[in-house]
Amino acid sequence: MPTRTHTRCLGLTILLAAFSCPAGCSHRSATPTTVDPATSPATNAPPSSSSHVDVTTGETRTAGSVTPDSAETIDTVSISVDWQAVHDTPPLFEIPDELALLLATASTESPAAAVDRNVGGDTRRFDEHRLLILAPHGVMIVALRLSVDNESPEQRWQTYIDNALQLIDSNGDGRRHWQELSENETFIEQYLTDFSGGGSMSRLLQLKQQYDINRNGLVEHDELMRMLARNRATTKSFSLRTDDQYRFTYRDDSATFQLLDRDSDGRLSTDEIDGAQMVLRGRDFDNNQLLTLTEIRVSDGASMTPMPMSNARRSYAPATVFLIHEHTEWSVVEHALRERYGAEAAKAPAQFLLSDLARAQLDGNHDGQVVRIELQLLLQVPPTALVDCHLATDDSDASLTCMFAELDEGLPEVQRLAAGGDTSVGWRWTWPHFHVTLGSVGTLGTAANSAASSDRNAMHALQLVVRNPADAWWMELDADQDGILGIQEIQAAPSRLYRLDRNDDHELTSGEIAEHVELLLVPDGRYGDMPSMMTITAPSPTNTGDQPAWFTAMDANHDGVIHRDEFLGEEQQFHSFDADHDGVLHLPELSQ
Amino acid sequence: MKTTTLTVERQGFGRTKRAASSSTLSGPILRWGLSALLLAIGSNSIFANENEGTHGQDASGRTMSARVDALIAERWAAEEVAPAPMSDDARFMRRVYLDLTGVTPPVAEARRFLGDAGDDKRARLIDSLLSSPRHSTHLANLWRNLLLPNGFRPDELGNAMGLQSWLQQQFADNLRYDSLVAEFLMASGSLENGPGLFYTSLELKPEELAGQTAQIFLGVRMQCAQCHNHPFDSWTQRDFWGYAAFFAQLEDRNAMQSRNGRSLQDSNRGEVTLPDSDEVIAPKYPGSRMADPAEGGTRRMQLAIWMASRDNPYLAKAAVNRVWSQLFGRGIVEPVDDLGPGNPASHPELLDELAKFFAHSGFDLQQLYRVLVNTNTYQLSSMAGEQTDLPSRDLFAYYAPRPLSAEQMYDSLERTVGTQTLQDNNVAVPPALRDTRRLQFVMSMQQITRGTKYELGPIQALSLMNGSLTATATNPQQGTLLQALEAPFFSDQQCIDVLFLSTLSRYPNKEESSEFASYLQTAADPTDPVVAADSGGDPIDGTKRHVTERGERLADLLWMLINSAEFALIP
Repeated sequence: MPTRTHTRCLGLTILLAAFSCPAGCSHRSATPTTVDPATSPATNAPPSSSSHVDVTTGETRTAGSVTPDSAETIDTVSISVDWQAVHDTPPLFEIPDELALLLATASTESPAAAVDRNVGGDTRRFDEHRLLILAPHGVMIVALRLSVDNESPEQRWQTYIDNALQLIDSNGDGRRHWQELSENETFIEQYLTDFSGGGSMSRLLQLKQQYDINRNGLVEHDELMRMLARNRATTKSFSLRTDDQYRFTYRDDSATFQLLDRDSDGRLSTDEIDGAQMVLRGRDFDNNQLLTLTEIRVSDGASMTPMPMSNARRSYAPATVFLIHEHTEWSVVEHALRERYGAEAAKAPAQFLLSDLARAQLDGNHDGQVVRIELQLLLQVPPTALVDCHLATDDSDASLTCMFAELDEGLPEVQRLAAGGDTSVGWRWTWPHFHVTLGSVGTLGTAANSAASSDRNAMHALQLVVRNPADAWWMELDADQDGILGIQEIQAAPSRLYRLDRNDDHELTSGEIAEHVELLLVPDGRYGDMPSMMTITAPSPTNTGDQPAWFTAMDANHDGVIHRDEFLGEEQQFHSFDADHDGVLHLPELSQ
Repeated sequence: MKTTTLTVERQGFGRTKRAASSSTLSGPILRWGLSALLLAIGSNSIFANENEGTHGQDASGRTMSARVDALIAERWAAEEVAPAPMSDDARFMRRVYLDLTGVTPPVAEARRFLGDAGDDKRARLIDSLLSSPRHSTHLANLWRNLLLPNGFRPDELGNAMGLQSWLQQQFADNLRYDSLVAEFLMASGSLENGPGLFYTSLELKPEELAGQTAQIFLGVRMQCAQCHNHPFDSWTQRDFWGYAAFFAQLEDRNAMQSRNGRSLQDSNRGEVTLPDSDEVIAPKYPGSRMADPAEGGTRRMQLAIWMASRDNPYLAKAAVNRVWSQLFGRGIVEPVDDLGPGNPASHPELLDELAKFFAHSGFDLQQLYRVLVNTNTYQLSSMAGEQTDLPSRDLFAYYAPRPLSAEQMYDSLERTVGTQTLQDNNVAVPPALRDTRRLQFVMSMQQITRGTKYELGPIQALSLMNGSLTATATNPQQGTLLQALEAPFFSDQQCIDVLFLSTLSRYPNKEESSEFASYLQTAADPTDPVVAADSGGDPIDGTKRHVTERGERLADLLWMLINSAEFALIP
């Protein structure tokens, strides 16, 4: 049974349910929501069982069949896509009704299709975008749904522009002059609060100089958009920014790796792996039994820009994530496919799709081949994953939902990333050699209305930033992915490193580290000010459960136990309390 | 010759503990070029025969410690001065903790040390502190303040953190001091990754850079010769500008950009001229020869090589004198940045021998600290006792108590009372430079004193009495130390012990114990909850808690200890 967790601070709920393939094959599919069977297309077999990942606890449990009573989450679904048109080729295997429907609702319109859904009696509209992720083991297509306060962001965007245009034309003559704008205090108040142009004349001069591109003295639609976007890179309601072209550097230039690689030979020997604990402890500059990446990422030597160690280290790699739509430059996608998977991939991308269903959809003539022109069909094949981001200006009403179709490589392990307490900022999909972190920077509500910004009235554009994590090796050591290495994680560092030794040669190189891509939803133009995911996923002291205040206070590093160095009492008291002689005091030991 | 060459390549501009990383150092090319130049002058290198630094007090270290004591004692005998007795364990512990790590000891470690009956416990404590990562943090704080005496602007935070991180790493690796200076003098590349802020804070002006680097690394005030020959020393105006010429070809690429993209680089253009003339002054090493262009490399590279060479008579002495001053409160030469014939050392032989020892140890800073804090001189008591006519401080016949620096004060207070709450995007412990409360505290001290010392003036005292940090710490609902003392297994006496250990790093004496206990016991009903006035709730979970009268009284006692003179001093 899917559950829904509302959070107050960040207003982000992750809901994920994974269902086994009903046909009993190794494929699995996922859906977090159930729908009214009456509106679902018929399939031959109902789902037989499901496994549900409760992201608030991290537990995975098997549930029974999905029954109609689970339709309480979504009452009805009205879709704007012709299911038969999308599925004109029979799928290679059976998929659950609800999954089929949800995947089918992934719109084939582009660039962003507004879709109505009736959720719990409330009409909800969202924009749908399609992402192409070139994972090491194949191509993933992710349908990304965005809504803000149950509205389409694109429509909000257009409404925002239309209202502004209307407001500028204060004399109602149908022509909008820059002078009108500069003298329109209502407009200034609503749209340009951060503008420091002074009085109307100097303001007029400044605005005209900056934004009257064609110098005709009139406020054109595009000029207004540019002004409202404060000249930022995009004037769209949603855009993609890729910063992951230096794909290998986050592994090779890892500060953690350089710290552990004491002889700087580019590989970790057994001696270096065995000594990892000692080396990491030596970087605990504030001596609080917790290691932050900041303590690791100290500059090494004088400050010249890092020089390439080899061609591979600094080689420019094509983007791994594309926003695809009808205007996509397909030659770029083709190039990326070729670079990623070899020359054959660009000719037959379907061979690399992770979904059998998607492959079948692309191969229209059933000859097992997909020709180049069919790349555009990527817009139409069912997605391998669907991400539903419901942004809300009231954070408590926000949600983030993720579901997977069947994948040849199996469903990923899903790990919740917490910013503190029961709030969430995203989650991580983890395959053996590939990790995807998906989340928002700051709060989704904040992202939606730019409330955190001093520039409150800038346009509410959203950007999905694609980048690599700051330090891949750190993430391998950070078992609970909380952004901090606790004492137990430091102690476990050697064993975790040994587990990474894929080729069992007792040495570790960066090639043995999984690839990792971060997808961060951020308010437009704020990316440069944003911290990395790791700095916003640190633990919070609110994770103290029912601990008494004195215990929490003595637990200086908030790791849930009291170490000898934290204990304020006498030495013999510590030993008498430490019933299990594990060197730390747990609350029950102190409560006896 | 070949052996020397290999030694230089392995150790020169490398690390005592860790081989030079070839990835993000000052650039393999620069490093290679420097190494190559060092090879050329290998036979002239001062560290051609030095030993690697070692952990623990080795024989040469013990000998040097004894030699320091002997040379100091010679002056006592000559001056007929009786030294103070050795300090007690508690005061020694507090002193060495603050001097080596910049913070007072945690309660658990204080208990362990004070309960240790071993004869060598002081040496063991010294070793453990020197190998603690906190030591490198403290040295980085000291050196950052030295390099940026006026602090930094908020928009320079990123670059300041880059400098701090760079220093921290060099000290954590126990990089040879001469190599550290060389790397500093050759720093290039992004301002955010290293010492760049030092250069930009001086606007890359050759005369400013010359004056500051001479003062910091050579211990001489050459800038007095900027406009005329030095009035009290032998430096001429040409000497100064000859030294400044080494910095004349430094450029700030993309200087117009406010934040990102700025970087330092050397060019082959730029000269300095003698003031009020067009005469170009060629680079000249201080007190030595002219730089030879045939030596190759950039001018700053040439200067870096000279710094580490036998030709430089200043580097080791200046470093030794600075470390001595940091540990003893005054230098063998005082002021520490004014080595010269006009300002003789109090113990010239001691300075010479320490400088030689430092050079022969491979410019091993850890070893130097270890030698000095292991001396009896360092471990003398600061208690004057009945003595009213104290001997001159330059005799080092007693340990002169010093006020904590602003950063030591803040960090100790933070550790003592555990007011640290999660902030800054929930990062448990924000880097010191991003800790806004810490920055505010340190900056307020700087505004008052124009320095980093925590002077014991009325403003500082009032700030401690009523400042937000103290108010939070001594609020029973907010101060985590006070909350921890609510643990059911603590007796009154144990609470009092914890208060003393956490603030003054010692157990209370009988009189103090008695008075504190009676104050706690006279509470009307120790368990009655009282209304907490103006309490802001718990900083961690925002909930309000009942406060007992006992809790209020413990808060009073903590407030009193924090505001005692003893808390603000290195004893």
